[in-house]
Amino acid sequence: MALPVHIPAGSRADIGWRVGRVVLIALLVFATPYLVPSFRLSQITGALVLAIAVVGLNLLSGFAGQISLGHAAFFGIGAYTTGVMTVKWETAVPITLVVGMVLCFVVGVLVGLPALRLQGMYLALVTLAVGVLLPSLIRRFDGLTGGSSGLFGMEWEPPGIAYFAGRGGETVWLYYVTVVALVLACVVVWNVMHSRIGRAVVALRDNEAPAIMTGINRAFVRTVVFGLSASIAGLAGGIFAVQAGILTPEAVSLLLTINLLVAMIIGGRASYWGPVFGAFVIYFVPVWTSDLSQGPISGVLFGALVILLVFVMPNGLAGGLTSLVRRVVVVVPQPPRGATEGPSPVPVEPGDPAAGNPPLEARLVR
Amino acid sequence: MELLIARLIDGVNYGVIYGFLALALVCVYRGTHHLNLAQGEMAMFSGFIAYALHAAGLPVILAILGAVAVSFVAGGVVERVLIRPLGAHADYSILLVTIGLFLMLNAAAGVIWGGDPLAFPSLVPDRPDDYIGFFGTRLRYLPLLILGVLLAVMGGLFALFRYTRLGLAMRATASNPESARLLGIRVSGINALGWMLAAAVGALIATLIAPTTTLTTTMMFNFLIYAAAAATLGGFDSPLGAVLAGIVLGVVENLVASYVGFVGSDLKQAVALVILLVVLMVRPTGFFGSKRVERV
Repeated sequence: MALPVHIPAGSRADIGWRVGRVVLIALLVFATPYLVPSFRLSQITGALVLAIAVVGLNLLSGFAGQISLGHAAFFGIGAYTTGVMTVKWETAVPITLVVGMVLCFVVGVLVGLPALRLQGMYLALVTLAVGVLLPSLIRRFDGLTGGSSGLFGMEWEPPGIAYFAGRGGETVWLYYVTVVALVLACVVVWNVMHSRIGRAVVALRDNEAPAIMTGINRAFVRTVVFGLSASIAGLAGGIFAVQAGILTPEAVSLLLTINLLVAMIIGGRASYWGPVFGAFVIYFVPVWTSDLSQGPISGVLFGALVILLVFVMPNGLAGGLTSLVRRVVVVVPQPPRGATEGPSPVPVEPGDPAAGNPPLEARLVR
Repeated sequence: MELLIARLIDGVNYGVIYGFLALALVCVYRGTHHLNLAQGEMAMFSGFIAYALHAAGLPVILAILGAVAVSFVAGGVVERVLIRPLGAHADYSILLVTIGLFLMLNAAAGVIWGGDPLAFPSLVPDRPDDYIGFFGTRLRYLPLLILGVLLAVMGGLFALFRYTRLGLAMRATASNPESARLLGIRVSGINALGWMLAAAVGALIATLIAPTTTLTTTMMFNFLIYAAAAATLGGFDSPLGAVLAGIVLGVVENLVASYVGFVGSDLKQAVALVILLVVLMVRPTGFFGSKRVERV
């Protein structure tokens, strides 16, 4: 059989291909805790936590095209909100996650406001400023945050189900929590990008002036996207706090922002799968390079790999994977059914409010 | 009063370093409108090259000049091999390459010269009792030397931009690359020259501050953040603006940290960044930046 295989959109093969992918991924997600040892599972959870943060960054820097050099700050705000609330005030973890997300949304909107007047490098520098400020604030208010010596003792007791019992129980529980949070984050981003706001975001990114002329409220769209992106990063931070069990200012420094950016671009910016690929690369490549060689050589290899990927896969892993799949299977878009037959094949029933037709009313006016 | 003068001098000393590195950032930015995140690490690496040259038996001054020459060439090579092939509008790719370069140089310096701080000799006497009295305070020779070199570099750049054909071509490229290309200027060559100058300036900074900071892989990290802030305040495409903004940042930051108890040394960096935020809210293109007028 000659490759690529062409399948028409909407056919059984196409639907099977779509459903098959989802089932495959779901199987992989459920099988993972049984297949890998506990320490590896907690590494995978770590990568998934990063993936959530990258999904948030991707909304702002990928889809909306605004470079952020400060996303570690939002991650940090989420992380320290959960950390301080659970350790000092013994609040339940889910509540702290919500509080952290709300806080990040507010801070994100506040940072987004000056960003309205700024473009390109100037905006990047404002976010850089925010990103660098947070670690020094954490050190300054060490009574609350533990300062440089760190904040300890965050954990999330799994619910009393037999599945999560035993020694590896919390690891498995956190794994599922992270998967659910990642799926939620992806669904939110997907829905936003397929809504009115999403189309406005793309229009503003590609050509601002005409977009504004068509009536897009730039200030509203930009600040809401900034806030949303920040709160997703905050959610990642909150889960990170309970997953890592220790927080230090170094963990949310500029280096984390750089890692998130690298993950986003390597994965493929403005793509839906990219952040997950990128996060796994950024998490596991340093692990492997340090297995391959001792000490700082692994850092050299990692830096070289980052540069190499820019040249080899300019569209990121998601782009590379898409073009690879297209060599095997191509879904051919079909014209809408009945498009050649003139009038719409679905008769519109008058009086059906669901179809947007209010019941006809006739009155004799005297 | 004496304390105030001492603190002012201290602020200027730091500000000169911020402005100096900001100058390197501006050299790159004027060409391709990109922030080179690896600028600090490139400078750090140049510092280590000077150390290696000095360890091989060269006198300090020759070691410094040798490092500057090597960096000048290396800057051009980096631009030619890693930046130019990506094209002018590959914003994210260029950002990522500079990040990769940052990580690579940082780790490579650690591999070659080890993790321990290395001492680098000063060009001028720098023992505790080497100073000039000034209103009851002390002016040390090394900061004076750095200031002098900065002024010389500024003067050299000014002469280059103002009085030479090459400088004219550089200014034309900075203000409008498309038109400059139409006039027969080799824009890519000009951009490469920007990277070369920036790398050379970085090498000068690293070797000049090394006697006080010692040579470590992290020596330029904080300076880069300040320099980026200074370059932004100065308007990113103005060399003079970058240097002045650097000095202003250094002075204000030092005074606020000394006189406002709440700030202390922990939030010293925060002061500089808050200044940056406030200025950008009032003037989105910094103090000296040229406004970009866009046609629809």
